[in-house]
Amino acid sequence: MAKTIMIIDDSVSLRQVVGMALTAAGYEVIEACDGKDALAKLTGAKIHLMICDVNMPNMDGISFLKALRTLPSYKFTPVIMLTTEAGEEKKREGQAAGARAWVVKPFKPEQLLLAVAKLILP
Amino acid sequence: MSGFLWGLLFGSAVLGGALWTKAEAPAAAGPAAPEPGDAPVRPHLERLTQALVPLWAGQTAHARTETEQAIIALTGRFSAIHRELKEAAGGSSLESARGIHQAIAEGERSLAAIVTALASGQEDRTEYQRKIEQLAGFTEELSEMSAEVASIASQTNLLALNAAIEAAHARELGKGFAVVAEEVRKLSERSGTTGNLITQRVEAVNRVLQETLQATRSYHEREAATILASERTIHDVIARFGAAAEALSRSTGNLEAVNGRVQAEVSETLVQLQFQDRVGQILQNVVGDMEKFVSRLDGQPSALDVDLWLAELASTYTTLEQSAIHRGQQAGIPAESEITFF
Repeated sequence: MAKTIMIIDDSVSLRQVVGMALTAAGYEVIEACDGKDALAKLTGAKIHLMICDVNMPNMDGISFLKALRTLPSYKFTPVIMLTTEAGEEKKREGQAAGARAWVVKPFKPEQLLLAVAKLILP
Repeated sequence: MSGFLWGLLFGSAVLGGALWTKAEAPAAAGPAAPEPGDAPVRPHLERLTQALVPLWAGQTAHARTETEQAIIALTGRFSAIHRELKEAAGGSSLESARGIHQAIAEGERSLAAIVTALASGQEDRTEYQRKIEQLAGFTEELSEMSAEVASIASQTNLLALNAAIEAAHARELGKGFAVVAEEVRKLSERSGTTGNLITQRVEAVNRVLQETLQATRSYHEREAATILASERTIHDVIARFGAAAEALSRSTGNLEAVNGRVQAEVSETLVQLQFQDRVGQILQNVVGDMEKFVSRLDGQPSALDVDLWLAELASTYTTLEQSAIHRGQQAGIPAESEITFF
């Protein structure tokens, strides 16, 4: 059975690009346009990994990550931050909030898939 | 973009005069700071700025939206092409070509086993043929033996005849002997008749055996020819299948190679398509700052702190290029991503 990955990004084109890479690799994809939308779509169903942008309207990626870690079902869901933010301070902020990896855009699909394969839940 | 905007604004400020309380231009701001004391021009400059900046912001935002929509459509179509290519390549992958080779090899092995089984059956029938030939040999012996029986009967008959003649010579004394001689003669006649019958039967059996033997030999030859023809047919069919599979494998290999190159191109294009996200964020920052600028002009423009403004603007940057431009440096093309694992 295909594993499910949630993509959280306010850029439609970026969601398409990430979705294309993931579906081609055999993953199922759920999309959310920001942190708030993502939280609304977390129904308790198993999500094996999340890929989240940092700068988004309504709820940014770091706030979403903090909220996610309070939910028992998703406390240990691996999250990869995929962002244009390259600053060390932001990275540390993401790490403190519970991110497992930090990928700076633009990314190569193979690189992202390697990170996904490394971190995704069994 | 922000450097360009600041340049324009400060260029305007040079013309208009005392809009700024801080006279020093930032590193990325371009020309010299305005001189105070041009009060008559200032209202015009403020009006001009208030009219122009929202227009710039609107045009920039529109350009950003239009670019985003075009990229979304482009990515969607690209995604569809990529999916269809993948499905097309997946339908004739090398794996399926390898599967055909394997099926042919297995078929060859199975058919060879059938030929071996047929050949084994032929060997069994050769053994039957040999036994029938042996049986035919026995019938010849039987035939000779029955001829010997007939010969003995004939000689016995002759002896009985001689005994009857001798009994007649003995007259009264030979009467009893004549009766015995007659019985012996009758027995020899019956033995001769039986011997002839045996000979006839043995000859009949021998004829049937010879016919059977002939039929068996003929069948054996036909069977051997059939097995040989089967082997040749199987070999030819397998060879044709093998050649077809080889051709399929080559064409599939070519398709796979093309697919590999397309995948590499797709991968590179996916990287390039992400420019919109970065450009969108940069433009969004510029538009946000323009809007902030106009709203602050409504208050007390003279109270604007340029250094503070620039610091606030810098804090909104997300990309390294924005920071580089802010410092007045050349913004390079963003490098490929590096991944930091925590």
